[in-house]
Amino acid sequence: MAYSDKVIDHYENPRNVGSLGKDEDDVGTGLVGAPACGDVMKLQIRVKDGVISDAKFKTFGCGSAIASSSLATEMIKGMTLDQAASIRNTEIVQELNLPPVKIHCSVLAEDAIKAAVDDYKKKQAARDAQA
Amino acid sequence: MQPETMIPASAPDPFAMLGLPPRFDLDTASIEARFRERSRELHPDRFIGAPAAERAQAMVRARALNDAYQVVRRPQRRAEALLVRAGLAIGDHERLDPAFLNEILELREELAEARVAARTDDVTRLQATMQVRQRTIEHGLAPLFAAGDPASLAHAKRDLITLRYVMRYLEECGAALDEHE
Repeated sequence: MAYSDKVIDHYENPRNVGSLGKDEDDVGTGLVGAPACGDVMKLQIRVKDGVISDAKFKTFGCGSAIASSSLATEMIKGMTLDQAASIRNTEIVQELNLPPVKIHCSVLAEDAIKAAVDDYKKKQAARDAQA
Repeated sequence: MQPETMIPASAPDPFAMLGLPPRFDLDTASIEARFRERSRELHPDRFIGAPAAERAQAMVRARALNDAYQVVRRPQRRAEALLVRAGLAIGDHERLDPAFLNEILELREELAEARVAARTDDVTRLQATMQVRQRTIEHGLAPLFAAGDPASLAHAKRDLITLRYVMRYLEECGAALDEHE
């Protein structure tokens, strides 16, 4: 199966690979997996004044899964939490020109963004409750 | 490429295709005997004088029979086929335990680092650990399917999801070792 140029670009030069401190207050971590292929994807956000100031990912999976998460981190930087959480996997499919068998990779990236936003919100709620 | 563990929902029941009972504890010899028997019925030699449509149909059935055999003869795929029958097919979007995912992520990182640094000993060690896990899961499947109650089947499903990650991990170990042979 041929990968699109954009997938190959993100796969060969992934953006924002790495980790943020998962215990830091302003960091949200999303960890998701696709049992069908044994892939695992971690996506993290740093939030300042309600806006995503930084995003990092680590994905162990196929080229499409890596490209989807790489693109996702690029998309969400500068977004508010609600904007990021409303990103649809179809936007990733279109941007990367993913074939039908790889659509689940984009779903995984969408889930990872939502999980990271949820994690951040939970942390904030816990902190507010303490204050 | 589709992972080979994927069983399309529309595929005919592999146990029925082979005329075997849908159980986990089937022995290799009887599976193979059944497959040979059914294969003979569909052998192209038997259809030499037959109309083209009939010959083509026999070929399609022979291929489907072979697919069924590939599922039933492998314990992991046989177990997954039993889950499909029980309405517990492993989907693309299973909720996975975050602690488990974290563990897999860390193990994958460790393997990736060992691979890049060509530390073959470390790769072999990680591989051995995962092989133990593979065997533990595989040995646990027979009693779970023998019990067959909903709790046991749900347990089997969790183990089979883990097994997919374990097998994927072992593939990566194999690839890493091939590089440095």
